[in-house]
Amino acid sequence: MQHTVLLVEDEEDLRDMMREALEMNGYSVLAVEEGQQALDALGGIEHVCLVLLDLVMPGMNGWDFFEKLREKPEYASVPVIVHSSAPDRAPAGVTSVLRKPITLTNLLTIVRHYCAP
Amino acid sequence: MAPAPDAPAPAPELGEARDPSGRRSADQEAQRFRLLVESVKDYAIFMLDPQGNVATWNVGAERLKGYAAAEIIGTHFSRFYPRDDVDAGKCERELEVATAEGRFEEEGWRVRKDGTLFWACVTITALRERDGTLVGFAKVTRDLSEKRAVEEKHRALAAERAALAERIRVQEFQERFLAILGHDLRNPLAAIDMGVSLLRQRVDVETSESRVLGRMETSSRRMTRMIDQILDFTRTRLSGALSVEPQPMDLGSMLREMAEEVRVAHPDRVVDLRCPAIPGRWDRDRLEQVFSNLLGNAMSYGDPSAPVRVTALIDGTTARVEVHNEGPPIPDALSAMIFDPFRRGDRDSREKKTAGLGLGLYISREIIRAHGGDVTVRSSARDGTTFRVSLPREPDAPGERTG
Repeated sequence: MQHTVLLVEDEEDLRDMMREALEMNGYSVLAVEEGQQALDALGGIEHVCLVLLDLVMPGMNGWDFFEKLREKPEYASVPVIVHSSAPDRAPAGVTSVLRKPITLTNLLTIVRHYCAP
Repeated sequence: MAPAPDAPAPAPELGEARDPSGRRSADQEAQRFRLLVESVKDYAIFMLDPQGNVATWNVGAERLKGYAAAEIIGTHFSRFYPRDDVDAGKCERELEVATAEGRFEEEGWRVRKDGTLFWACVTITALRERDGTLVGFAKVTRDLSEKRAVEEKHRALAAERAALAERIRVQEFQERFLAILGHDLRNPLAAIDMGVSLLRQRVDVETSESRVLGRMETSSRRMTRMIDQILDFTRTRLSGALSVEPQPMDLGSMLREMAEEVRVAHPDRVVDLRCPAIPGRWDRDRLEQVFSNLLGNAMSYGDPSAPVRVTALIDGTTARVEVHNEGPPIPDALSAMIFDPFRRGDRDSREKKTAGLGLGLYISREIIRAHGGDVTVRSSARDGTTFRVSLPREPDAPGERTG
């Protein structure tokens, strides 16, 4: 089964760089720029092993996306890692919180923990 | 004003008397007018002679100013003015204006008999005979203190509203500014950082490409540190203090770990650490920031051939830590302002190596102060440089600032 990391990040350069980094290390990645696109993309992914979520985004923000994601029974237990410059404002119930900027090593360690390449 | 022919006969009036022709005499008119004026309670209405002495007095004047007719008639009207106005010649000026223009009018402070001030609306009218001879002045004074109090209250409310709007505007600007620093500037840097790390995975070490990547890494880390420092500096300036979250921890083991990291990074240097276990409640991340700064300075500016010494001990309810290095002392010019933000002292000799913002020690001291402690420095050619940190082991409420 293909395991995919769903990356939600509005900063285009950072999003591309993170996607590149994960793909270079053998992971399947779907990268979108805000919450609504992330919700729309869910249906097309066979198995989401991890959501990497920014909080402050135009369109649907990270808090609203997280709430909507948890309302869907099939995604109730998908690990969600918040990656934000405001880590203290992360919504309750997320799996873990990372402070921006994340290093490549930390990114790969986290993703390796939840997803098989 | 004569009654209309068909109007009912008016009620008998004070001093009513008619001459045989049915008309009131001029004396009677004057008498009636005097009674009218004398009985007005809400206005002080009185006459001054041409020199400004009080000639008549009514009930309103007594009520407003506090003097009985007997004690004030014959007195100069300057008695009703504040001392400064009298000294400035205001009374004479008012009579001059009334004489020249027929009338003087103003709102201003006047003095009651008991010395209290009231805000008055004053009209002085020159009184002349038919031939133009000045016979005196009519003075009408009204107490506007209440009106003025209401106006002042309105003004104060308006000013308060304006100040509140300004505070909200500044607050919004500050939040936006912090968001830019914390979020917008960090994101591109995070992308650069990750890109460098990615390339590093593919580039062989000891090549010129690897050295270029090393430079990019160092620069990007320095930039990250500067943004962090500007953010901390801005927070101290905006909210007055940095926020700390004290948790139970061992300062001793934290210092041992940090010293070990320095030894690993600088195998050629000696870091001499003497420190027992020091349990207390502090914000570990923030204290690491402080001692990383102090150790970093000691390594950068200290004599490379002499050890950097870190000594920590428990002194009752206080933890004391000293970070010492040998080598040239801090120049006097810099010493006095070493904890100042953005200090510019002797940049060439001391700060060339790090080219930071000059915020590290300022932020370190803010962190220590947020814990209720303090940091000081002593530096001399003979004894080297020692930074002394004192930290209450249990920060009390004012030390645990948030914001």
